[in-house]
Amino acid sequence: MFSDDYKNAMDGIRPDGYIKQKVLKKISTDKAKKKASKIVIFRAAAAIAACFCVALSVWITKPFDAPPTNGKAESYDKIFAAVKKFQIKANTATFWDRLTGGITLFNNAEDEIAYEYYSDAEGSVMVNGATAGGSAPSTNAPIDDSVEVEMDAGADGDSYSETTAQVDGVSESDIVKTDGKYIYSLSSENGILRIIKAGKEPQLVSRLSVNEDGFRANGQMYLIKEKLVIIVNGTGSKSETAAFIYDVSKPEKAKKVHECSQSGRYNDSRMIGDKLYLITDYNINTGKIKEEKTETYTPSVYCGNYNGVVKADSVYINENCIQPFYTVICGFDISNGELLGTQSLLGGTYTLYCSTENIITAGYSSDNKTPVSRFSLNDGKVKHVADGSINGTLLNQFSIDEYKGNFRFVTTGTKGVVINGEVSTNYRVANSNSLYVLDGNLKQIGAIEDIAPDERVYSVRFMGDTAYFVTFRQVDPLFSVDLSNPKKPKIIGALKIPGFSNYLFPYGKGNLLGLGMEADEDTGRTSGIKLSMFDISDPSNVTESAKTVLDSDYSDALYNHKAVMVDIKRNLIAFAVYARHGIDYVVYSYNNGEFTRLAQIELGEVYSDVRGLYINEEFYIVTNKTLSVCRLDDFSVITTINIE
Amino acid sequence: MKITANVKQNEFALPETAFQKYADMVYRLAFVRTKSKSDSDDVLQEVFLRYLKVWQRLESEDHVKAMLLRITVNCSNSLSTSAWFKKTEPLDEAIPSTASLDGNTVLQEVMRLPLKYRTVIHLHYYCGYSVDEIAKIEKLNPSTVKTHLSRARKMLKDSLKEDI
Repeated sequence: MFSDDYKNAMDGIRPDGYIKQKVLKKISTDKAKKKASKIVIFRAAAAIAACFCVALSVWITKPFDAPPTNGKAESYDKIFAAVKKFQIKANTATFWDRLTGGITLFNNAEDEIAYEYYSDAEGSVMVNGATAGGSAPSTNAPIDDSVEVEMDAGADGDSYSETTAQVDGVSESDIVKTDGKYIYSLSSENGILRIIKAGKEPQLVSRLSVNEDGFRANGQMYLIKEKLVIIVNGTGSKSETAAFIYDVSKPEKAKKVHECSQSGRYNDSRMIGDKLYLITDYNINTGKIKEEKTETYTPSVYCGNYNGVVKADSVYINENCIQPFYTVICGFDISNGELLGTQSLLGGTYTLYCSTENIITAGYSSDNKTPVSRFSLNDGKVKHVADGSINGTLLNQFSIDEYKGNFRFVTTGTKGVVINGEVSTNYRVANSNSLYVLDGNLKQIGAIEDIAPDERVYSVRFMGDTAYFVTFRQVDPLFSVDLSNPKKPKIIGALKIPGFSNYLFPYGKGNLLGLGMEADEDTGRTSGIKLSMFDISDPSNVTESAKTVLDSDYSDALYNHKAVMVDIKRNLIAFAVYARHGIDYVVYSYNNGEFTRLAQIELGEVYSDVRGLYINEEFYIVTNKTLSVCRLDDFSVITTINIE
Repeated sequence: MKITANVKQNEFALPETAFQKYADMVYRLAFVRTKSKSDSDDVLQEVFLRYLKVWQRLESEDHVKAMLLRITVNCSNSLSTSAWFKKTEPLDEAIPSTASLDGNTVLQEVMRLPLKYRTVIHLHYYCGYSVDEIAKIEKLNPSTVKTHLSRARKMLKDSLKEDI
C-alpha cells in the first residue's frame, strides 16, 4: 500500500537529537527576550530566584579539570582510528539508517545547524582590547575606534566606511562592500552580484551571477586591492565551501580568476591584509569511511597549488570530541589563489575569535564546558599552538578577546530545567556567568565565577584593563571589571538600568554606546529598541548619560554587528529597523548628553538585509533591490535606483 | 496573576511543548519540500523562531499544528533569506539529492514529483489532511489543491505501477 509504505519511510526522517537540542535552546533564549509574557513564562519555567540578587561578593578561582588533550595525528591511521569510533553499530541502526546506509543523507546536519545557530549573534558579546583609562594599547590589542574604520584610500583621498568588525586590522565579510568608487552588493537570495558606480548619479555597471553548478553564494564577501572574494557554499549534499576570487580592477568586466575550496560547511572567515582565513566545519560520514581511502575521513583542499587531502600532520585530534566533526582552517593568498597553510581539528567549533595574530576556536563538549584551541597566524600560515578548557558556553565571537598575550573569555553556564519533576537535559536555562583569563598556553590564570546568577550575558566589551558587560533578567546591570591584574580580575562597578544592550561599542573617549532593548523594570517586558550612552570615564562609577527608545521592536542590528554602522569621526549611528509599514533606516548622532535623530528614511516593504555606508559626502543605503543616495549633511534623498 | 491564567490557557501552544511534539512533523514536511537534510535543519529552526511570534494567539491544538505546517510551507519556499517576512519563491527543482534515497522507491518517487505535488501528497497521506484543510495550510483554492492531488496521484500511479 502506498500510504503505509510512505508513512513507514517518512517515519525514519527526523532531525538529529543534537539539532533538536540546539533549536530548542535557541527557542528558549529567544523567547525570553522577545515579549513580556514570554519572559514571565520563561521565568516560571526557570523557576524560583525571583529576587534579582547579584552575588558580587563571590569570586573564586577554582582549579581546572584537565583540558582536552589534542594530539597531533602524524599519520592517517591515527585519524582513521579516531573517526572510526563514531561509526554507527549495525544492530542499533534505525530503519532510516539502514535505508540510507548509515548517516549518508545527514552528514552535514551538525555543521549546518551549528553555523546557523551561533552565527546570528544572539545576545552578542563584543570584545575589544582598547583602553578605557587612556593607557596605550599593546601592539596586538585592537584599538578603540575599530568599530567603523575610516579609510583614506590611496592618493585621491576618498573617505568611506567599512564593515563593522570586531578587531582592528582584521576584516569581516558582509553583503555590501565599497572601495570608495564602486559599491558591491551581493544578494544571498539568488547570488547576484551588483556593481554600482558611486556618486550623485549612481550607475549599475555590472550585474553577474555568482552561483554556479553546485555552489551558492552565502552572503559573505571581501574586497581588497581590486580583488573581490565571495564565499560560496556547496549545495545539496556537497560538504564543501569555496572562495571565488574576482578581479575587479575593471569593475565593468569583473571576472573570476581563482577558486579555492575546502571540505566542510562555512563556519566563519576573516581577512588580514590580502590573506583570507576560511574556517569550515566538516562532518565525516562514518557510514562510508574506508581505511585505504584517506579522503573519506580527512578534509581536502583544492586550489592553485594544492589538490587533495590535507597532510596527516596538520590534523589534531581532540580525544574528548563528541562527534566526527572537523574544524578546517585554511590560509589562502588572495593575489594568486594559493594555499599558504592549513590545520584541522577533529572536535568541531561553534564560535571563533580572530585577532591579527591568533585564531581561538571554541568547541563542543558533552559536559557544560567549552574546549578552546589556539592557532597562531603568520602571513597565511596557520599553526596549532595550545588547547585549554573553560566552564560554560560562549555566546559568539565577541565573548573572546586577546590582550597583552592573554586571552579573556566570558561564558554563561546552564542548568537543566525541572519539568514534571524531572531535570530536563534538553531544556536548559542560564544560571551563572563567568569571566576567565587564560595565558598564551590557554592555562587559566584568573577568573571570576558565579556573576549574576540566573541571568545571561547579553554583551561584553573588553577595553584594555577594563571589561564591561551586560547581563539581563529584568533590569540591565552593566558590570565593570578591573583586569589590570589578569590573575585577579575584580568587579568594580554595576550600573542597573531597565532593558539590556545587545551590543556595546566604544564611542570616543569615555563613552560606551549600548544598542539593545528597553524593558519594564518590574515585568521585564520589552518596549522598543534602545540606544544608551554610558559614561565610562570612571569605570567604577559608570552612569547612563543619555538614552532614546525607538518606536520599533526589531532590527537586524540587534543580532548582527555588521548591520549597524557606528562611526565616531562623523558621529553617526545608523541601522535599519522594522516599522509598521516596512523597513525604515534610522540615523542618529550623539552630542552633549543627547541623542539626535538625523534621519528616518522609509524603505518600504523590502524585508531584506539593509546596509548603510558613506563615501565622501554621500550616504548610501543598499537593500536587496534598491540603492538610495542621500546627502551626508541633511540626509535628503538625492536619488534611488533599482539594482535588482 | 492574570498572567498565570493566560499561561494556563495557552499551555498547549507553549513553544517548548509544541517543539517537543511537532518538531518531527515540521522537519518531515521541510524535508519533502527541500529534499535536503541540512536545509530542513534550517527550516526547522526558522519555523519555530517564527512560531514565537504567533503562538500566544493560537486557540487550539489543531490550530497549533496547522499553523506550524503553514509556516513550514512558507519557510521552505525561500531558504537563504534570513528574516521572517519572506517573499515566496519556488524552490529550485533541480537539487539532485534524491540519489541518497536509494532503496526506497516510494519515497524516491514522491521526491521526484514537482514541489507542489509532493507537498499535497505529504499533507494528505502522511498528515491526513483533507483537501479543504490543505487549502487553508497552503493558502490555495480548494479546487487547486484537488487538481494537484489528482495529478500527483496519477504521476505516482504511473511510476509506481500501483493504485493509490
